Amino acid sequence: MAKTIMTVDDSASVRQMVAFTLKQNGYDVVEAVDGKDALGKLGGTKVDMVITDLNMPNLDGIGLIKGVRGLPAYRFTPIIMLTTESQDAKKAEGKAAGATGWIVKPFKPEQLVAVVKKVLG
Amino acid sequence: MTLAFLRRFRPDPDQSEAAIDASSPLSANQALSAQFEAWHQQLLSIGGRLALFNGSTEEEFLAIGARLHDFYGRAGEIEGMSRQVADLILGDEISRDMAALHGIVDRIADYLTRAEAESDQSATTLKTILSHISHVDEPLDGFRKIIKNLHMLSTAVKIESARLGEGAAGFNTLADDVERLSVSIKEKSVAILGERETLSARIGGTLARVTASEAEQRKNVHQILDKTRESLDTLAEIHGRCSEAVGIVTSSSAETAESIAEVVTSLQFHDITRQQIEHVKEALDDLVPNLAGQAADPVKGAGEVADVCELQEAQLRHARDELSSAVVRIVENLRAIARQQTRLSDETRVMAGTADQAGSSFFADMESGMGRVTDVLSDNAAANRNLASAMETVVASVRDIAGFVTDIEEIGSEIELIALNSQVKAANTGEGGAALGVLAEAIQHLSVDARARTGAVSDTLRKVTEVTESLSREIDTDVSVIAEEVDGFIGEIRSLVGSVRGVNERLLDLLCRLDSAVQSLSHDIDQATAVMTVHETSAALIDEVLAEINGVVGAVRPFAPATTAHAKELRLRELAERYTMHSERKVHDAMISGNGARVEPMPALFAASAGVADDDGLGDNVELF
Repeated sequence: MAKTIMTVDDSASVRQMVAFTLKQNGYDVVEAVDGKDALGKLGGTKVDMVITDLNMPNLDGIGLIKGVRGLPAYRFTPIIMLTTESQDAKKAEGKAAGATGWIVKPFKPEQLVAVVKKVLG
Repeated sequence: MTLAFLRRFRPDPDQSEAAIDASSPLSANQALSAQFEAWHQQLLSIGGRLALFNGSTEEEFLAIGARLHDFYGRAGEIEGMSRQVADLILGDEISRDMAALHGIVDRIADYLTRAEAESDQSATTLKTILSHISHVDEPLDGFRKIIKNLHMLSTAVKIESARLGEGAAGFNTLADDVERLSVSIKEKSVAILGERETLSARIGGTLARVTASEAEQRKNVHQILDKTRESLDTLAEIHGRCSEAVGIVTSSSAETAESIAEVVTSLQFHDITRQQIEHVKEALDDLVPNLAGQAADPVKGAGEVADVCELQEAQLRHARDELSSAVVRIVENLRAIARQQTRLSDETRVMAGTADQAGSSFFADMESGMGRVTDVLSDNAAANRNLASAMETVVASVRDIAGFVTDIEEIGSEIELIALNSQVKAANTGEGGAALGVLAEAIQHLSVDARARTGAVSDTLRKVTEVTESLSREIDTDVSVIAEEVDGFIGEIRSLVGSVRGVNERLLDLLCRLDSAVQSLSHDIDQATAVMTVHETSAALIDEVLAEINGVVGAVRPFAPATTAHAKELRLRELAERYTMHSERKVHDAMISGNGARVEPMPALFAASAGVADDDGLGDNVELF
């Protein structure tokens, strides 16, 4: 059975490219437009991995990670940040919040797939 | 929202070009403060235009993304069809047909070798028969002398009988018998000679046909074997090409994947440049409150406006260039996908041996070649049937001659009886019949000679009969065996041709669908890329905004000349801390260092791995915690 990955980004074009890349490689994809939308959808869908942007309206990526880690079912779910942000301080903040990894945009499709395969095992 | 809509938000040129008269009687600070409101309005307008612009291009990028999904799927189908062509040519069915073809070639070669040997044997036998028949001439020549002697003896008996008068009654009858015998021998000899000549002519004709058939057969042997081996070589070559073609499909697939990856990466620049423009807007928006109301230090405030605007010009130019470069890469890579698929289709066609577009293929050639093999085998079988028929005629002629041999043997017996009869009559005649006794003795000698000659003719003709009938029996047997064998070959070849035709039809159908899919994809990519002008319209609008910012800088600089790099750095430090992107920092550093040269937009795939050290093989831009 295909694993389900949630892509969270306020940019529809980024969500489109993440979904395109993952679906071509056999994954199911759930989309959310920001952290708040993502947390709402996690309640009704079983998700195996989350790929989220950092800067988003309503609830940003760091807030989302903290929210996800607060859900017992998602305490160990891999969460990858996918953002234009490349500052070490921000990465450290993400790591402290519970992020599994960090990808600086733009991503290459094979990079994203390699990361997904690595963290999903 | 369309980009055209944004053009309505152009500021009033007079306002944007508000000139600063430094020689005004007002103090510099008063004159400067008087301009703040105008710049305040200009910056508000610029911010509004940037905000509207940022929300206007996403739909076009999403549309490109949707087309990419479609193109990717179709490119995958084209690659699938190319693989099917390779699989078909490399598949079990063709391997089985090739093995069968190899088997048939071997068997045909064996058959033709045997046929050639049999043909040689037939020719040798016919030459032997001709030689035997020529031996009949000598004893038949001897019959002429016997006929002459019998005629003379008949005349002599008649003369002697007339001289003796009544006492030799009955000798006249003997003379008539001898004469009749000489006529009979003459008739039989002439008939045998006639038949012998006819037979020689027939055998000569048959031999010529066998020899001609032999030469033709040898020529055909080479044609058949050469053609069939050529077909097998071609098939082996195609097999080789197909093995390479699998590599070509894989390589084309990798190239397409690379082009798709480039498009996926480039499409993300919409989001990246959106954020860059957002950052520019935020920086300009931050200046607006400082321009509202009375500034405590108007020169310092103006200097900040000029520095920040110059920096944002550089950031905006960079964003424009990155966006344009990304769309150009998208167009180039989509077109590359069309080219890759067209090349793949061409390679597939060459692989299938159908470089021309007419639809003929290697398999059609093979089918035609096998048809010719079947024709040659049929011709060969017909030639054998003709030989058998010719041999039947020869056998019939030999049988006719054998009938004459019996007649000649009877003549020999008859001469002996006449000779005996004449001797008895001569003895009964007494002394006067002495001369007749000599004649009777001569007839006796002739009978011995005739017996020897008829024996020679008879022996020769018997040999001819034996050899001929043996050859005829062999040919009859061969014809039926050959007919069966050739029928077997033809049946197998027809079955093989049917199988090959089936593969050929499927191959042509696949190639036809492949062509259609590639043409359709190329057409759609051409159409889609032809209308991708988002980078041009975006660049035009950004250029207008750049001109406005530049107008503000031009108006401010007379009041606040450019400061040192250190002072500028201190003034812009806060902005530097707000950047999120590596490229923004590079543009910033270039400005501070006074290096106004543009930071070139990075190629997408390079951009994707810029920045952080790569120690896990996933790329410089990836870090797993």
